[in-house]
Amino acid sequence: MRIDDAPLLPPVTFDLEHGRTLAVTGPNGSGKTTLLRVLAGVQPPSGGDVSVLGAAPDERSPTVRAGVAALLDPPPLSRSLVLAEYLALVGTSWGLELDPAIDQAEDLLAELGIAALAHRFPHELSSGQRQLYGLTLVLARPCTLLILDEPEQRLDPDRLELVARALERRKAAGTTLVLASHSPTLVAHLADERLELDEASALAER
Amino acid sequence: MRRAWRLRSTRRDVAETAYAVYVAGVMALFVVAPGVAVVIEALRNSAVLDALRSPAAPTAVTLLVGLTWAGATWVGAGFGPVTIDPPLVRLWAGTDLPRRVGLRRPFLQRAAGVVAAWLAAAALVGGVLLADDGDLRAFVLVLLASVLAGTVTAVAWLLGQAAPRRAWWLGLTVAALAVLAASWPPARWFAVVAPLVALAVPLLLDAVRGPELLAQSVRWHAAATTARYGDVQSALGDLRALPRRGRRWRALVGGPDVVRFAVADLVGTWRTTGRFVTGTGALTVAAAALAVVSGAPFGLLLGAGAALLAYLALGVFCDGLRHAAAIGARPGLLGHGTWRLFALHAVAPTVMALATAGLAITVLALAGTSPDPLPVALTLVPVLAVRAWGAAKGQIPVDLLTPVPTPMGDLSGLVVVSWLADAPLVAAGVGGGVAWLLAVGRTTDAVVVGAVVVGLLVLSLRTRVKRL
Repeated sequence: MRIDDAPLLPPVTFDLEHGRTLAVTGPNGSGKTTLLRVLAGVQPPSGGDVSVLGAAPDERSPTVRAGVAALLDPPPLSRSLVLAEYLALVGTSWGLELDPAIDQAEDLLAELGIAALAHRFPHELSSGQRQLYGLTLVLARPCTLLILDEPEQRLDPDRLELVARALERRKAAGTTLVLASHSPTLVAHLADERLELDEASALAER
Repeated sequence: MRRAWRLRSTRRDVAETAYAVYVAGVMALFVVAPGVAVVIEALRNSAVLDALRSPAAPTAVTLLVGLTWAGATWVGAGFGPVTIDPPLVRLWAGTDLPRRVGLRRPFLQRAAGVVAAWLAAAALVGGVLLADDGDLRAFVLVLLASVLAGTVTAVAWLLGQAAPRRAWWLGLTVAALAVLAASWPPARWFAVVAPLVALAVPLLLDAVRGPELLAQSVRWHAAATTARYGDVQSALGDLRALPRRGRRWRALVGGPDVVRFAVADLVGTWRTTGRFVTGTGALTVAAAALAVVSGAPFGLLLGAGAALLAYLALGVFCDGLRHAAAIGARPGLLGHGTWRLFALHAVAPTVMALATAGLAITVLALAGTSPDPLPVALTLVPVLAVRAWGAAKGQIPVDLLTPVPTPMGDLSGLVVVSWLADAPLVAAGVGGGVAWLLAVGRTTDAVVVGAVVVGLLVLSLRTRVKRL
């Protein structure tokens, strides 16, 4: 993966079966986020072949949008809806009726330990709470493949444990998971396979 | 204190000051003065003069000025007059100096700006009267009254900043007082109120809370920085009021997505109540102006102005469209495609446009006039399309920020301004064009123009949405 002549990601090869979890690790600048962006269909690869859910990933494709959920940056939030409402809106947009969507929103907030924030506006959250809320949003929608970029950011050990358990439940339910992480806790809890990206390889490509 | 301000300020040397004075003088002489003379001459007609000299004019002035004071109080809750650099806020708010001392200078600077704006408006109105009857005394009286009205406006603005959580009720109280005082001659009313409220300035400066001051300063400066580089969407986002009330109101309802999104957007906007009321009021005024544009003098100008006002007012109800643009650029969070999201979020501003147009036409009809719904429809529909089109605009291309060196200096600012101004210019152009075509009896052409503009905007919007 290159932009002009600058390499962002050295050539990597892997297969990930349905329901398995891949942890992408490596130092800053080794290309973890770029790999996730390619898998999510946000950034087309400059070379090589990529197949996600049986097709080349492109976030404009309705099939990819329906099957792939990704948290790569803080998601845009509705500034005038409280957390529970926006979560429920996400649920209804994927076909849930309103009452089940509201129930799901409450469950998700409780699962990540932020049920007390249900009636807060987004601007009233701390950075750690925002990170947890971003995770609840991406978990509120159905998906076959879940892609997470450093979900441990700004989380204390207790919250990290909650996130690990929540992701374990998705994994047990059959969701395929790809996450980039610097957290030994998350990697130890979740990874079936591990892809170590090497900054030296990225530099050597230059 | 003076030394600290001096060290913090970027002072001009003598040559720079002389150049600034020279440029200001040249601009005033060759740009501002001829423009003002043209406007005064254009306004010096029997309809305007009769309105200015009518027996109802003093009452209308007292009411309008009083409502402006109320508006200033509401605005102050989110964007007060004292917005110094955030590091200075931390410095002044953290010392044992009274805030009446530390914040006096920035307040007086903003207050001077407010008074100057009032003076300019008064000079225009007074200039029309002076050009007609040559009564210099009346002209000076209008100017003096504007200084007093400007002073009260600045203090009302500070009042909102000093008591942001009570600003809504304080503004209503100010508006009620304006109604009660409507029978007073404006100059006398202003002369009574201005000295009284001016005395309250030190108390109000002392009452400004540090965290509120810091939050407002950070917001203003973030917005100013992003606006400087052409990212006006983000800049306005920083300035837009944030909701604090109504967190338990029911914003989600069952039923079809169209209804759910419309209700969520409208309840969400109602959570910033001052903004909702201001937007609704401005949209109603714009619709009323459009409804009478066909028979009005200066129909083209009135149509353009009303369309611009409608464009600004509709922005209040377009948070959803801006959210759809932000969502569209990310991997799917909501289960709707970006185009469908735009359509769903367009329902709330459409409902508000319909409601305010209906209200304006009904009130005008009850008042005995003959409102024409055609210019309202032919302007508001394109303006709605302009709003959706503008929401999907994205960030300014970096190429347009490249310096444009000329003998007159760097003109890249003009390029940025022209890139930024497209949506309001289209809105004003459609309003003015439709009004002119209807005034000369070319109704079919007006309908065609409205339809073509909407069609082109929707086509362009589709392209923009694909690029998000």
